[in-house]
Amino acid sequence: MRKTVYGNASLAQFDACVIGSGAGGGPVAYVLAANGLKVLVLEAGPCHFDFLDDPAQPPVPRFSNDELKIERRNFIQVHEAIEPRTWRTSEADGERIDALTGNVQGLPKTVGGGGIHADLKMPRFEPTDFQLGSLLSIPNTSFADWPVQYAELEPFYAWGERLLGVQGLAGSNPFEGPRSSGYPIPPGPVMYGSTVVGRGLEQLGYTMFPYPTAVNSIPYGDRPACVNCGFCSGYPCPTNAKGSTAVTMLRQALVSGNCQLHAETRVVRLIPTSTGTAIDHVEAMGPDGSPLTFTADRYILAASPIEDVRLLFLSGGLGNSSGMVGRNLMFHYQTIALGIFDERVHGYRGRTVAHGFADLRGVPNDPTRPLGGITEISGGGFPLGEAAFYKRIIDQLRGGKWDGALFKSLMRQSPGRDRVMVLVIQAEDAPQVTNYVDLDPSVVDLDGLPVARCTYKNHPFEVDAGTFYEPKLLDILQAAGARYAAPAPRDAVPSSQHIMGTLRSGTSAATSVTDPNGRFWDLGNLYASDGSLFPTSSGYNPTMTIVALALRVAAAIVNPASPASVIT
Amino acid sequence: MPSLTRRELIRVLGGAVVLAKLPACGGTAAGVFGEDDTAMLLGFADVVIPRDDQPGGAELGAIEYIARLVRAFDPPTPTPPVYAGGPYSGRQPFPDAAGQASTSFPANDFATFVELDRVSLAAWKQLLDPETGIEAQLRAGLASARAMTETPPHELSAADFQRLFDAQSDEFRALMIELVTEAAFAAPEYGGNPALAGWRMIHFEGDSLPLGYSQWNGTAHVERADAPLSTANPSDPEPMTKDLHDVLALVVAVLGGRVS
Repeated sequence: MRKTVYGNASLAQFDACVIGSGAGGGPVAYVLAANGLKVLVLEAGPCHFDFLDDPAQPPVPRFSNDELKIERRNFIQVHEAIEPRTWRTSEADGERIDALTGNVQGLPKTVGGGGIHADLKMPRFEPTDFQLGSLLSIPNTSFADWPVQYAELEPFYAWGERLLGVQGLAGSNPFEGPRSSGYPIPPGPVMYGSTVVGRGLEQLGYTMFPYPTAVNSIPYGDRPACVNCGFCSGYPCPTNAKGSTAVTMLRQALVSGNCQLHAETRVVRLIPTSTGTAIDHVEAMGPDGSPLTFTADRYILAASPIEDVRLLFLSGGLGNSSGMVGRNLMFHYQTIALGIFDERVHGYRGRTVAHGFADLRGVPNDPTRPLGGITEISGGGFPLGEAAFYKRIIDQLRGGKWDGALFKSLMRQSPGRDRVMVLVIQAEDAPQVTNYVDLDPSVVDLDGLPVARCTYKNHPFEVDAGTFYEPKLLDILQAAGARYAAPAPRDAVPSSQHIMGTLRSGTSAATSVTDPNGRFWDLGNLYASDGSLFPTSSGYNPTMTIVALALRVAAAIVNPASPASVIT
Repeated sequence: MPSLTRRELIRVLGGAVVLAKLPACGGTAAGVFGEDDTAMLLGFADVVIPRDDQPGGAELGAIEYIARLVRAFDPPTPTPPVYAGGPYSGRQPFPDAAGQASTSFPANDFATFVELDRVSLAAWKQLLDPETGIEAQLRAGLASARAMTETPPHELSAADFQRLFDAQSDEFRALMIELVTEAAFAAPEYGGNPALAGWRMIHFEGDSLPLGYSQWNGTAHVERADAPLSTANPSDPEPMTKDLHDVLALVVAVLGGRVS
């Protein structure tokens, strides 16, 4: 029988119950456990690390360089057939358009959460990203200032970078905010494809820099240096070189003696006290589907912005006196261009993304530089994804007739894997109260519980920025020597796995769901700690900010008067 | 690798009489489909990936892969051949002291399949439901194809298979393309890609651990000469042809891109 309880199994009373074990939950567990609190972590997905809680030996992952297992067979991702999410653009579409919400389904449900699948690109946000409510006035948007500004969050950014082991080069991104310290480890080896694209960037006056990533360029902590196996973005790390919160902070919590983790244990309902001002206990389903009950002094939602909201609505709509629960759902708006080179640039080797540039992030209120986002210089994928890409090409070119000879030529000569480099802008997505998560009125999951429904439509703010910057991506690829440069179609269904908003933090109970420390205005012992807290999306990958905020949420629980004093 | 004719493959892999003599081995034997369906599947596999100087879909293990998948729960097991284990396959060596390939190899962890949790089990039971799942979808498509011709499947030509394949539903063709390409280009522990023929054909190194593409030697990352990380490849095993350039130019034009 496989193990599903990790850490100190003898603990029976808990100061905190963390729901979700990813980039939002792991840091909370770490900080609370390190400060002597007894922590219970409930994770709906399975644990794929042997020895995760064993101080005598490093965790042994069941992960591997296996495209079929990870990309096709959902080893860590949600199975959309039995746990779907639905989507529509607005109420005018009826109950839903489609049974799926797109690639958002790809977020993992496993111990470690989204931090497992990501290649852990870890840039910080820029200081002005926290002030867009004051800086912008865009009709039909809900831009707001963050209740925590960059200066206050900076020490938590630095702490998180140390705990995870983030590689990077301070000062190399000319747009980054002030840093109190450099990156704890230096950049890793370059990928050839980045060098090739870098020629185009240099020619056009852009500044390429090593992408900050939580990947060990050298041995760090008790984890080895990355060997650049290639299976990085979308793939959980088989060697623990990736500094996910699972193998760093969560593991530290589990070996501390103050933490107990239940995998395959799905919280299905939060039960409030009789006064309705706090959570009394949670109801869950165990590994075999049997009902369980857990109790703690406080509860922290860290199951993702979509699943957090789903749980609140499954619990009767808790915490929603503002009417803002689920509102302001955001995804990064991705503008993507592919460059195909005559030579094989072998972008499938390495860390997927080793470099990027931020020149297309833009400046608030500058019409010549609309707010876009950091641009990732990414390698190609692997053969099964390549084959699916070619199928789409053949379908289009041959009108639905299969051309096996062409398919085989494409696979062997590999323009879509071995010769391609991809530029991806992770652009700011304007918050809108009309973009929200609620429960689908009739679609249920395998346990008969209503699934989350996303009502989401892009605003011209981000669409226009994408249209503005797309030709610049093609310019760069051509300057780099790409024979072919093409934009990828932009879909209405959000394709980014960066999910934000829905439990906005703020300074007013009337317009936000949680206070600046992530505590619900309506429920004194309920907190949120993941991307749901974000008032705006920024134009940088969200995970480092999720981690920094989570550390701060936990630090504020330990010492509300001075969260920064908790930093070690 | 030596090429088998389709008839030889049918003889080896298909047909109840032959298969009745094969030992049962947890879905890895091709005892799922009868002789005609097996012949049709093999023909369609070679439509998806035609044989030329390199193997086609049939030789790349389509039948073995499909059989292993659709019979993953036959007999019932908590560790069906759905998720290969990790972290290593044993195909790549450990590095030596200089960061290059050594002669020491890890064990094959892929060969030990992972136990499914409750949710994954429910998902895969649904996907592989005999009445509604992948096998049923295949059988329906194969029956449809056989109904379109009076010629026995093992006598059909490549052109016949192409015509029949194109006449099937989008869903069936998409499923076949997905399964055949998975057979050809996934790790061989799933039943296809025999002797790594699929990866070799497309010049892909496959899973790379524990060697990877760089090794930290204490002062710097050392790269492999045969598969560099930060520099250009020593050579191009199969440059793009003019025909492929023409196709790409067309695709790029459709996407609104540019050709240099």
